[in-house]
Amino acid sequence: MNRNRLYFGLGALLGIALLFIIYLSWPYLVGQEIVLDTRPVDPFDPLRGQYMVINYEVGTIPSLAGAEEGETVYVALAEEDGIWRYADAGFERPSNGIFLRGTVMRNNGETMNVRYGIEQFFFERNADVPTTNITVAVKVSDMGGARILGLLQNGEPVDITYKPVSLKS
Amino acid sequence: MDRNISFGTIVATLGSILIACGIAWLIAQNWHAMPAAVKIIVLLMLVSGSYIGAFLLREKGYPGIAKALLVLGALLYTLSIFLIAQIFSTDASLQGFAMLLLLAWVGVVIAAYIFESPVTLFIGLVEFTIWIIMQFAAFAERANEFAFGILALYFLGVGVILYGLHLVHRSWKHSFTRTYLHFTALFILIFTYLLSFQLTLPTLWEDSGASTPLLLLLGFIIIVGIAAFIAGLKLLGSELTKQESLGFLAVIGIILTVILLSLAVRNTVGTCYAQNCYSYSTQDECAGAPEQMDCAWSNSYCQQRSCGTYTDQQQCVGDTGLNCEWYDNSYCSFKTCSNYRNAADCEASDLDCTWTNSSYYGYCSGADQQAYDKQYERQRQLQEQCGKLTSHDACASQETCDWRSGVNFWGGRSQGMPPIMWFAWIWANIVLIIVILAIIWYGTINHDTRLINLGILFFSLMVITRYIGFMIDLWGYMSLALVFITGGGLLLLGGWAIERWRRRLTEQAVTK
Repeated sequence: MNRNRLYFGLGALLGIALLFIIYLSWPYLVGQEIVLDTRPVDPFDPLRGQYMVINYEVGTIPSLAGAEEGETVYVALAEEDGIWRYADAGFERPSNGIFLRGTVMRNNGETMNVRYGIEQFFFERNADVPTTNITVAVKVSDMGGARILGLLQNGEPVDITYKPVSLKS
Repeated sequence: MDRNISFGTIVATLGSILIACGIAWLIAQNWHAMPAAVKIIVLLMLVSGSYIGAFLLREKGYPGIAKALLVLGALLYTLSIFLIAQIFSTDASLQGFAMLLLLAWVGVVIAAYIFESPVTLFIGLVEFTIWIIMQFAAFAERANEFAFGILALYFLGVGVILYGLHLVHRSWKHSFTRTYLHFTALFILIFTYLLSFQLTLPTLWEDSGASTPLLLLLGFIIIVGIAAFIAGLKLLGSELTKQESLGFLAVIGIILTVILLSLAVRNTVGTCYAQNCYSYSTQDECAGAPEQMDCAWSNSYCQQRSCGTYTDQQQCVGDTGLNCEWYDNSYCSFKTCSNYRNAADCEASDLDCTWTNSSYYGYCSGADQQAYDKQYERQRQLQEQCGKLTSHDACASQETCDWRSGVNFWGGRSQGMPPIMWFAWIWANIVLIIVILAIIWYGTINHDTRLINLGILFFSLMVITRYIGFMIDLWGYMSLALVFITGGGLLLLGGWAIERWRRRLTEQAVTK
């Protein structure tokens, strides 16, 4: 194995990781910050650790006629007292305004559940994260992609209590 | 692949796996004190360090330890993908997990080719297998179509892809030739072994699997499989004997017969349950549910009508059939003595309630449980009616019943299985034996001890599994003994015939 192969191999692996980071960072780099209302709970992922599942207010919206599970929808938002709430939804990407790109998870004819890929927030194992009066600061790109900036409690960044790390933690 | 692995290599590889496990748990710990960027840089530096170390050790003449570092590098790269996903709080759904695995196995397989490392390819193929399962689960979850028969076809198609890649690499005399061959054998053995269970066969086609993404992925796998196989045949040309290529196709063909046979048994074994109101997902469907099920649309779900489904007082007290009462000006519950919180309400009730004052608290009690009992009695009656139906057609003809395929070990042992199901199960086991023998045969003619050992391992596993299975099914040794003696006799005779045939061929060759 020659040195060029080593450089090429490392370049390929680090390149994939870097592209993945850039893709995930895109809304942070170009997006606009908004705040969404929530209702959270918390499970555990064996490879990624402890996380909180966040159910957003905009996660349940009025049904769109003909919307099927797995279909992509665009949910337009409008600000109301500092919180961005559902304003409209459709299958076509809006040409302006703030909107989220989501996937229909369930449509019961009256309302439908939509996922935006920001329904989880990872935090340190055994940390004490408040779960009441939570809103989420999110960056949204002009394509509707969203990333979580942080959790807010009563409009302020949440105060997470961390247990000291020890050999038993 | 280097077939002489030293003890030092094994110890170093175990060390690599331990380090990767430790780092995985550190990632899961998600220590907040270390900034996200530092975590990513540290892990990517460890990945680079592992590969640089492997490169240097190879140069210095330590290929075994270099191999261990390549294992570490591949595992750490995989963990880096999960760490990045954790930092950006990416989608934690099945589809999100499948996406991360896709990035992981693609990177690991690329690294395997660049570093010419069969062990890295092996890790990549293991990750690929997990990805196939997760991607199936993600598509199935989205479409609510858990047709495991489609997953079985994915596995069969992937088996063909792997064998095709083996042929292609064999024509190039590439060091991955044996890795692809061994993985093909392992893949097909695990798959055929899983098909040999009574539990698996009737459930393969419980759902139709007619979902576009599920079928598109199947189509893609089949096309790639056929292309890889044809490419392998073309590239190898006369180097590949007809015996081998036709033998492989025959193995694929007989495995396919098991999957197709499972279609014939899909509704032969199962249990008839009472239909649940939750299975109606829209308001219109809920309104059209059979009257006996007594479904009502409440809180965006279809639920069996109970006092709890009413959210206003008027509807609550208006339902005379269930005998509900509005409590604490906030919720509707069935009328029962224990719901009264004070002596006055308790005594004033038209139920036969009594208020009791104990030393610490008072409570209202009585025998009346009418509404509660009515609700559960209704469900019990439906379950009793459906439970009596033992065939799929009879169950499916009842709107209030729901057929679920599969051997119900909890409801009694599998003696109640119809003959077609027994036939399918016995055939699945014969196919498993044929696949095991084919792999041992192939290993023997190619002097590949790993293939032979793999075949023997699965043969032992099959004997142990069937022993446990027979104990569960028939609770006795007689049938097990008869099956094993008959099977053993057939194998012994078959072995003797093959040996005689081989000697005759050898003698003919010597004479010529």
